[in-house]
Amino acid sequence: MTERDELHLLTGAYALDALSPVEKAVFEDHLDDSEELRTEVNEMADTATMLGLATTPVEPPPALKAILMALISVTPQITDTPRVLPAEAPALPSDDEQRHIRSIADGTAPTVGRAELKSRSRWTSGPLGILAVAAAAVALFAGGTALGQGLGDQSSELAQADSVVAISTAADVQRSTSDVAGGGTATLLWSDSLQRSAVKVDGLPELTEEQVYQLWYIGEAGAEGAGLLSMGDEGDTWCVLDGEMGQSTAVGVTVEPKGGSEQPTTDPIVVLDEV
Amino acid sequence: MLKLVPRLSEPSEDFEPIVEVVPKEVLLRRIADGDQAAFSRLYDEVAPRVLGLIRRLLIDHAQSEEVAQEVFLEIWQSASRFDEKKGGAATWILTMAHRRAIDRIRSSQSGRDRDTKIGIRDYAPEYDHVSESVETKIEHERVKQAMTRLTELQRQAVSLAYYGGYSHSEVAGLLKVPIGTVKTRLRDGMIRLRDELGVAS
Repeated sequence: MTERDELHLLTGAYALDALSPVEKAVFEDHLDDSEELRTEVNEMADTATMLGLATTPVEPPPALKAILMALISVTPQITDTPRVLPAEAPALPSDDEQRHIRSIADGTAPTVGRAELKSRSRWTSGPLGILAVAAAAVALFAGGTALGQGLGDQSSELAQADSVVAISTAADVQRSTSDVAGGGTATLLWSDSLQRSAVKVDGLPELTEEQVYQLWYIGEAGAEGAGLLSMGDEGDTWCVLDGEMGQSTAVGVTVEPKGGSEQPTTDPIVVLDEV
Repeated sequence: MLKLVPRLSEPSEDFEPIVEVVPKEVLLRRIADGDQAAFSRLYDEVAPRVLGLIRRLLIDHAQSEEVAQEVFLEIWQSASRFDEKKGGAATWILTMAHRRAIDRIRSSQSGRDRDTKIGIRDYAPEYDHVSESVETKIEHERVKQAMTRLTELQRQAVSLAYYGGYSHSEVAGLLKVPIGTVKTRLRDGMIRLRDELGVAS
């Protein structure tokens, strides 16, 4: 029997998640080469789904959704999958999109509703409690590592995402939000027990190509560089700070020359106190 | 033409207001763009199915809920990876749920907990008719029917792998047949099920 036949034999076991990790990796490697194999695997995945749909549904406790809605509000998404726009795609936003953009601009867009606020408070005091959330975050760390393999540069984004989840689900997580000089807002999330923090910014002014936003841990001893913010297109991004919080009492953001500075060369556009 | 219009003036507990049906594939695209309302909606639609499958595999309530939470966070984080060309949303989500539950089983401690909890039990799909919707009943019936078309060994192997979460070597040990035989039975069984259930691209 050829290796190819041997692999073809494994389609059933693969769709049922019954392969050993090594066999699974070898099998997935070959999946790229064979259209025929892929088709069979896709059909078997659909078949396995039918088996899954035949199990008795279980209504989850309301707290599970409350926790998830709170978690996703602070969990960044993987966004670097290339989006191919069809050639005939309109250059201008559709009417609906424009209405949406206007409603955001003039502040009439729906913001965080009461239910969501409630879910956030339940996040910290709900029936499932912090332990379950923390356990899930730990599991995410483990799962995220495996997921990161073979994803190339997406793995660093996933690692960042995992760190953000770890911080935002820590038992002693705290948060503070401030307006940024020049426009936009910045939110600091931190956990003393983890000694880590993350910054989320929205609507920050665009910089020239020669400038970057740099993060600093600020304490009595002065400022210590904590990494650069790589900005999204709309002036919003998430970043887990480099290093540990240590004796710092605040986190600041400054505008620095490209590549960053050893010490801040401008006044911070925002300072977020760790209190 | 006659159209059914929801009567907003008389809300009744018996009749849910008619909501526009949005395919799960569309919801996933919206989630990829950061739409939390779409996530909420998808969750409401699929959470009982996701938790049902995970519970079937893990048995333990608390662990099942933890794994379900991981699955939904992964849906949120990686919705942009969903590719309709490769399969539907239900397959994408339930494949993820099955894999995560299996990962949990194969991390040794929870595997041991589970074994002591399960003891000896039958891995044929359970048919709990108490809380079933009509839709679920039809799916049960179809799968149950299709399962009868398998040979005894195929049915046992597929059930142990999918519903029991056993690897092919564990299935071989349980059924006392060589691993090679299990691999073939799993594939033959799945092909038969695929044909019986009318799944083909």
